[in-house]
Amino acid sequence: MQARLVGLTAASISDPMAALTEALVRRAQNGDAEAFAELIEDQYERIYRTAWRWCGNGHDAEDIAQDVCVRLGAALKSFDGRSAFSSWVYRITLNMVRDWQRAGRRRGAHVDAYAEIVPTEEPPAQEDAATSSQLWSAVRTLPEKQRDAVLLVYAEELSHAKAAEIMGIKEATVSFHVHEARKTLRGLL
Amino acid sequence: MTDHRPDPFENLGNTAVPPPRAGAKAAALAAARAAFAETEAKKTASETQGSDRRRRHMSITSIFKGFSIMDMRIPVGTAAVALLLLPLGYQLYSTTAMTSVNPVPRPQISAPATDPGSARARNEVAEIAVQQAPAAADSDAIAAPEPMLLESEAAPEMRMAVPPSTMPAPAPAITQSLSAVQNEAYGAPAGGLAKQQSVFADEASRMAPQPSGDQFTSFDEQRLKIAAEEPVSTFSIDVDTASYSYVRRMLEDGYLPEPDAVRIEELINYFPYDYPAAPSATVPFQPTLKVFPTPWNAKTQILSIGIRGYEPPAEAIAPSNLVFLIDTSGSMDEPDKLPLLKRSFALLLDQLSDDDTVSIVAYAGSAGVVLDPTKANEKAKILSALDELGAGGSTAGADGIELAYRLAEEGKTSGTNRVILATDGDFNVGIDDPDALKQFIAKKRQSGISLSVLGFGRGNLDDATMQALAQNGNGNASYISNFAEAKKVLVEEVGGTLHTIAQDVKIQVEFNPALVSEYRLIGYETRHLEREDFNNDAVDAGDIGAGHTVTALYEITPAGSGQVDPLRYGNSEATTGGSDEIAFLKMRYKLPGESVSQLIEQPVTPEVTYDDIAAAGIDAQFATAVAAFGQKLKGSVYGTDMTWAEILALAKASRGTDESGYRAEFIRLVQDAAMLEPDAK
Repeated sequence: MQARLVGLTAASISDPMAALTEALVRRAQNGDAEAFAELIEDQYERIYRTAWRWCGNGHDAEDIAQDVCVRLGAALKSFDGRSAFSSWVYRITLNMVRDWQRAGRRRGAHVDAYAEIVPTEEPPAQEDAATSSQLWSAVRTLPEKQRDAVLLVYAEELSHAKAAEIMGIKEATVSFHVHEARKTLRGLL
Repeated sequence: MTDHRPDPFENLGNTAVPPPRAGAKAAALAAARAAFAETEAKKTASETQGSDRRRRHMSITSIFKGFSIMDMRIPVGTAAVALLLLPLGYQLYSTTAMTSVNPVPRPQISAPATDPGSARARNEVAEIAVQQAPAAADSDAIAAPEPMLLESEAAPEMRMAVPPSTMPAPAPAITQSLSAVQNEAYGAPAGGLAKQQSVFADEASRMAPQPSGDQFTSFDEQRLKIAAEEPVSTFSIDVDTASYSYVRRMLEDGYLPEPDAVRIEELINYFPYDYPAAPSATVPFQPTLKVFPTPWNAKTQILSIGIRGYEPPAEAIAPSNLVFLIDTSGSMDEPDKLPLLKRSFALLLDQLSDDDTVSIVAYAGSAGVVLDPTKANEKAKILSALDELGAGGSTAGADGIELAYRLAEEGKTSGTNRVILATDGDFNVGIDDPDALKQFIAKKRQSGISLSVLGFGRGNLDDATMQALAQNGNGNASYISNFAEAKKVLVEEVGGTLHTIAQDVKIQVEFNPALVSEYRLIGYETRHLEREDFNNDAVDAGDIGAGHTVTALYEITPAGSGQVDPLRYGNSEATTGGSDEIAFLKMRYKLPGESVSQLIEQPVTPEVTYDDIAAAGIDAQFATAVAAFGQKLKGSVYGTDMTWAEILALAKASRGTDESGYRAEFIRLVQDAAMLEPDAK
């Protein structure tokens, strides 16, 4: 265990944070509750942000984030390291968002309004707000694959490769979905 | 990969995500830790407690983790992961969420009022709403948040929108420190359109986008009908009061409610009226009919139909079996949700008799049976179970509603069997498809278990689903906005809430075209029935509880003064049948548990006609004032000529003894509404 940790740290001098995460995952998988607490604390913001970007509603995002956290707690053991931990978390989050939205609650209710109204949001300049909110609501109405691809690549600012890993598809397919999305939204953008 | 391209998608990365509320985060983390601990504990135990979800995720590889020989897999995998993906992880870390929130260096103007150090921005008192400019006419101009509303107990007169002229276009950024100080800043002011007399009187339009997460069924207002063409009007009674509570909360917070949120019959039926009580349980109510002039239209009259449910003596009430199905999702973690629910629940406990049983099931967040069926006299046990409810706890399955109904079946009694769903809008109770859920509830209703819904919070409330579920479950939907409301629903009206005295109550009124040219039912849009539904006992309708009062108002136009011209070629001479009856009222109801309906009939004769509304009694006046208030608030095409001052005068004149203070509260609401949307001068 120690050796592995040292190795990990050495392999990622440039990125102590990711190494720390991997170490926490290992410790948590070995049953260290404190490590898990720390891990989940680190992850929560990102999960929440992802959920927010996907559904555009703070309440839903909070509920989804909580469900994801619970699932992480229950399923961490089954994380087998074949993909990056962050990808795995993304995948769980996206699945949860999808389940949530398929169940048909509150999806898209006043998304525009929320995008504008959340008081803690930094208010953008007037025109920006208009276009950006239209863009957001348009993107959220895309078919799931296209939406996921667009949001992963542009909102989460991941590489196509990483998005492909999260979505469980080929890199070229990600580009295809983004392309399709662009086509779908041509009128709006 | 964020090199510059003229690509609108680029903007997606620039949108700042509002931080989660600390409470929700804490709840999520607690729930996750609990789940983790539980999984750990189960590792040694052989069987899980029937959690499908967890078993599905425990993939087979995890079983081998303990074997050292298989453990070889991990270092290889880890090394590969490290080599391939850590750079990407770093990239992620440095570009997205894990970095500190300061994404777009846009110009910020800090309003002095939002300074967390200032006296106004104190803990829970600051409620902030950034509101869209009400430039509804131009749909393209979904304008930036323009005025800002700051509300404070310390300075209540501050409840006004800041005039745009005093603030440059970008509204002030609300600093993170403020949101940390007050957790609910983000959740609370989700809805409504704030208006301020001097600033927005003209431009503020009802059409402005309502930035509210609450959902309402939209409906068209009851239209004027011609008695000669459609002499029969049929509807189901409605004892729900959720709309009034919602409207009150919006007004008290300084917003006008959305028109669809205003259901006039629910406003009227919120108030108790002093109709004569029914004589016995077999004839559980009798109608009180009155006809009097309409205050907002000199040409028309109001026909008021009032009924009051029989109140059985306490010893005649069979024991109740109540199952509480409580939403513990993260969003319930706000002072006006789960904590309020707990306090309300304690109130209800005191109303129950020792033979009643109570059980509690939680869903979302933490799920499972929190309290097995327990006699209501074991208060300490029930309250402690309630106290432990939190957005944490164990995570056993998500089929909350089936669990709740199963408990209800187990503890079934001869009296009321009811599941009470308490939620802020998360109906993720285990059956995802809304129609399947309605069918499930309707099926269970036939086996004698009803469902009531208590709505909490604001900004997320799914009023439409709430109504649909309660209607399918033969229960009532109540919106609990504060402790006083909890007291009303769960203490003062507990009889009506829990003890049904008549089911499927339908009302049918046939107007005499010889005396009435036009009529219009006020409210009850969502309760409309077809004429043929009246005698069909299979058609579901509203139930009435012990002591409930229900009032329906018709605006009727006497023959000769109608606004619709008679048909040139039609059979203009209506046959009177030689009767001087204005209308004929029929009501159908079923006694609890019976499947065949009973009929009550009563003509509306000239004897119940009053020439002056004041002579019709205070209940008639008050109900009319509430109807006028509702019509005006929703921007109805009818009755909006009546000024707020006239409504106020009518309400004040009909306040009566008002022991519970509801009518006084209504008078305050009229004043609030008058300030938010003043009459045109």
